Amino acid sequence: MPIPVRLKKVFAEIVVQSGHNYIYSPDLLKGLKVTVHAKNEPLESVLKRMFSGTGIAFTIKGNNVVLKKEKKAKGKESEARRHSVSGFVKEEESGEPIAGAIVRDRRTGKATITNANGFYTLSLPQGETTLQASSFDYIDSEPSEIHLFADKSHDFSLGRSRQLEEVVITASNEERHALHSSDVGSSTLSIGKINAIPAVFGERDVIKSLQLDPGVSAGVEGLAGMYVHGGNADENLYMLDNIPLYQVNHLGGLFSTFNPGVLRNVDFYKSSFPAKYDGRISSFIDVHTKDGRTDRHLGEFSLGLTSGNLSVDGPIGKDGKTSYSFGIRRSWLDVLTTPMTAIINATQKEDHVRFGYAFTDLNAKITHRFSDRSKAWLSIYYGEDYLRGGTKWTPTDNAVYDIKEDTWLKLNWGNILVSAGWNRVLSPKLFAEFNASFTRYFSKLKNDENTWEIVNGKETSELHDLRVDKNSINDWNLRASFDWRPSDAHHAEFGASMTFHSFVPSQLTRHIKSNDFESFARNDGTTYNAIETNAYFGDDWTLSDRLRMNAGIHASLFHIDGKTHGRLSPRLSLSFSPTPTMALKASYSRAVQYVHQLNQSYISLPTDKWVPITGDFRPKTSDKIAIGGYKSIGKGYVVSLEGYYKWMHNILDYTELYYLIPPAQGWDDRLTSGKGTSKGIDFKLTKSTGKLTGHVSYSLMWADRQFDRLNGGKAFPARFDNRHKINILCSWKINPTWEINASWTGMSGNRFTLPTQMWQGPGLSDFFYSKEWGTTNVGDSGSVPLIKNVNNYRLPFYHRLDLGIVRHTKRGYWTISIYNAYCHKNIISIRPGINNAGKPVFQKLSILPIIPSFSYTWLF
Amino acid sequence: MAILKNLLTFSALSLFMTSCYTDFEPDIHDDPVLCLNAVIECDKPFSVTVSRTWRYSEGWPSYGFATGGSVDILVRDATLTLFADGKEVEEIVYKEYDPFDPSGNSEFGYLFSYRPHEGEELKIVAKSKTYGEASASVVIPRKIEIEKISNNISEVEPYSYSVGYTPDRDNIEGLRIGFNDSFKVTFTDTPGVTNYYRILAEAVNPAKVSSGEYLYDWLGEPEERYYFSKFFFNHLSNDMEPVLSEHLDVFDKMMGASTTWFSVFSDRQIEGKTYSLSLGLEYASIETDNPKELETLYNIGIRIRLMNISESYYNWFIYDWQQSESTVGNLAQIGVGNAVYPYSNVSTGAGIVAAFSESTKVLSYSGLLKEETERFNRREPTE
Repeated sequence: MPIPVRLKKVFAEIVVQSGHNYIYSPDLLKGLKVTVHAKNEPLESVLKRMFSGTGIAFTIKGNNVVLKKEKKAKGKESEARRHSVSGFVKEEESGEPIAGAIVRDRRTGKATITNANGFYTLSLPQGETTLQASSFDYIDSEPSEIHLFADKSHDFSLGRSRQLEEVVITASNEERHALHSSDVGSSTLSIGKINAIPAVFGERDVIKSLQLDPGVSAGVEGLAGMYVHGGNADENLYMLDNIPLYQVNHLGGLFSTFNPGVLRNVDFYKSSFPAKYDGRISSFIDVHTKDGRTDRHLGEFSLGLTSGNLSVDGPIGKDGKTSYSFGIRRSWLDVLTTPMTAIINATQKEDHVRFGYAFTDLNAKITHRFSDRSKAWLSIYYGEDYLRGGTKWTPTDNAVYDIKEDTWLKLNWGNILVSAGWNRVLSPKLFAEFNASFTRYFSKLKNDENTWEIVNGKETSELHDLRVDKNSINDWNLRASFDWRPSDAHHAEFGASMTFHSFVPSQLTRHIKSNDFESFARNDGTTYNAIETNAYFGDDWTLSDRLRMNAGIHASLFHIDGKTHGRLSPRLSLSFSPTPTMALKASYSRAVQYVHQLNQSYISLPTDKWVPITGDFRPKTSDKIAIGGYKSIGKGYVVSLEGYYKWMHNILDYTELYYLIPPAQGWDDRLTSGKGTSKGIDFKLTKSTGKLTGHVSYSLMWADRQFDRLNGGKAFPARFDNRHKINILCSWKINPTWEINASWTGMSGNRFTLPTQMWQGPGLSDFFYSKEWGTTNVGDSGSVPLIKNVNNYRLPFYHRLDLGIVRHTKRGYWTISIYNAYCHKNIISIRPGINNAGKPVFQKLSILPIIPSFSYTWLF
Repeated sequence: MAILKNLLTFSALSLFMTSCYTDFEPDIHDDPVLCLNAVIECDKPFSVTVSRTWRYSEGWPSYGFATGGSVDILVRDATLTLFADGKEVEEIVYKEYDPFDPSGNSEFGYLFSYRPHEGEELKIVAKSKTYGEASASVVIPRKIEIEKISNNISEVEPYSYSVGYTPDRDNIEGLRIGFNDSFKVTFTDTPGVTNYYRILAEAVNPAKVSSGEYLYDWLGEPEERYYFSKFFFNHLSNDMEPVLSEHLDVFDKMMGASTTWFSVFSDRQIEGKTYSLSLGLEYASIETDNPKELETLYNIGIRIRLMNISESYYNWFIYDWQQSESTVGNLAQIGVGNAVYPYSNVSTGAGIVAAFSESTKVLSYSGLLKEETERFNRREPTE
């Protein structure tokens, strides 16, 4: 294959051979290379072939040849001179696609960013050019010489940077979001960052990492709550490879369901939302999993105080086309509770207990690459919490009369997700992905009681009482999404999806059977089938070198229960860069939500139900405006300041006296609809390079609610209306063996409903008692709180320091974590109590003290 | 089932074992308001307790006096007006206790002499110069008759016990009978009307009779001997009765929430039907000292009371159970759940004005007592 040679050198030879005079500017030939083979050929023909696509025109007048720059032709003639170069940016070792990598053309200075699949495309003028790819945490690629005379594909492989080398990283994730996109309030969390954040029990956790972002409230201490910009916990859409998940918590919210061992990165949007996302009104969290390495098998096994984790990925076969990724995480609390209950039971003759709890997450994915341009995958996720318990009472004393009891209870709740997809580069400008998925959220509570009367050693009457409560959602989804870059200036994303939902919000059954009667009761238990269709179009339009706009719209239809709800969610964001290291942005987003979660507590319980919008309730919507200023101040520092205002409509909450409606009656009667607002400012300073990295952030926020049937119709502060929030995160990689991570969180306390006035109850005693007198007396029945104002008290300022020490060994690494290192007793609630002198007093309650933990991760 | 609740509580506490409470005084100012409590029975005069709310840390509440650490919450300066079906029928003020009352049992408080009728809507309006106004309305429920009670006595265990000693140190023995019983209380709910019920039971015992003799206890102290019969029991068992746990969801059940002492239910599951409540009697006893076999002393039994209660009465019980027994209530107490809003039908949000009508039926145990007494006197072995 002929090797391109500098045009200058070729031309010099022609000048010598042709004997003509050549009039031209030396700069005209600079940097150009050509390939030309000519023998006994007319000069004009040779020059024509040589200068084709170079932008150089020539005129032969007699013995003179004049060279000049070709004038740009308009319309189609101009288009013919441009070609697309597209391809993938992948990790050198594993072959995993790198999202958010920058591919830059050094000739024109134009750049683009890879999508979630690592795909990029650039439309460039015909000719010789040089491309280079870069991404945070990776070494910049060597410049690649590209002969662009037709549409071309070119892939990049980037090697991981060594943490201690002072490698110049072209753009961190922060810089990319700040300066190279028009998003406001978006970020990407890498696995490295998740690993660097010390957490309770040493468990790496995606949601706990996101809690360190400004504008995100964690809710109750220690739990994986996400209250983004004053929103509620069910207003965040969690996705696993773009497939929504409903249940994302284990153990009451202590841990999330995302196993960091199988993750690639996490995209988080909290202010402006890309057009492709809708369905929730507060934020979108898209968790991307690994495809699996194509070169060799690698894995890790870690064991901590609460769970163990195994993840492994590698190639299937030797052709490097198929790979797998597998991860399993399981708690091992039942390893302790099983012998504990056995010991208890061994010491009891008659009374035995059963107890066990476990949670499991399993991720499995197979990816097959048909070619460089086409890939398919099949992935499965299974996550479950399982709690079982019960008692067994067997009398052994041969009494004339006794009772025997045997009670089983089982609770399990979780998600199943099965997804198959295929993506393909349809053309150099068009990338497509097609996906079919099935998601199931389930929650089942079963209580089975058997009671026997024993008379003279024989079982006489028997009562069997079985109660079952089920809640489930099944989603079947088809989705097509396209990434289209028709020109340099436009990067469009569009697509459509259809989801068939099957909601069983609450199926309560009770079966009672005794010797002389039997009854079976079931509540409505209606299955609500809904069809949701979505279509979106968004275009990221580079208006000029400094001005960029992202405009889009997301249309949705939700048909359920004979009603069709339709909403349009427009999206608009603008970005102006007065300098290459600075950006000013503004955005508006509308979002809609058709499902909501009913929960009466701030921990994740199996009784938390996901229900669709039904009856007279209308879909939740939010309108949000945001502005932001961003500056890259060199050496990996990026500073951002964002402000927002959000209006929320048709939000739902329990009525004050919801408990008066029996569980079997249905949830709609227990709820009321209202509205809310939130506003605030988020500030963040990030350092992404060097041995010491981290960020300092501050947020100022107000969030309130108003419901006609709560608080007397008056507006009140939201529970997690944390006025000020400060986060300081530092990660110091001392040397290849040691690293120290520290995270300090300080924030205004949560809001709390604190009634200070009490009233005396009516004295309606509930006891069956033997008494001599007549009707009940009105007497003391305890003190009853008088609740006048909701969330009227702010708990004290919350702060804690978490430390993590990592020691790398030959085969893995030890992680020692200290949660709440200086043991600050943060107040989580207030109760009416009694002091040592027997006087009634208000008391603040704090729970979590210093919690050290350790784990070992073995790499293989 | 409470074992699961205890196990989980232990697990939570072991995690939170260094939890602590710190006393403090919140910087919130609230003014006290009036609180009205009343339980109105059909066709009987009734009283209303008018008190005020107090700041929790002010002290323990008391009615009518305040000593060392307690706070008097009784309101004496109110004027109460009673309306029946919108028409004013009575107005009262506080009646003080009269220490010179010849009966020695002076009534005091806010006492209405009006006797309300079934189906009547009563409204009480209280006005206090110090604490403002409060009002509440309640409809007097209609009586629902107990149609019949059937029972099945089992596990009869008679044994003797010492009543006392004669001057000659002879032991005088009495009879104690332990037994179990299970009832079916049958009634018919009114169709087309929402009814709420409460089921109660109380012992029926005859008056004791003086013997004219003295017996001595084991310390040698003399005491006049009374012939008596006394029936007593611990509680009614509702384990076999599903309507008494309709408010219980599966998760509460699993977490060991108890309805053992729960006595109210609605007609949601039995609307318009004839229904038999299945109740049990555990650890019941009859004690008697009746050597002369006085007929009056055999008149013992259990009075079953079926109360048709007002919605406010029922809702109060549901609230009381919710905040003390339910999982949500327990979570709210440690700050990880929404507060359980108290129910009140008084305009100030403090107090319960409730009403009821009741029907009663006595199930006699005289047959049991007679049979066992005769056997005891003959000292024959029990079958």
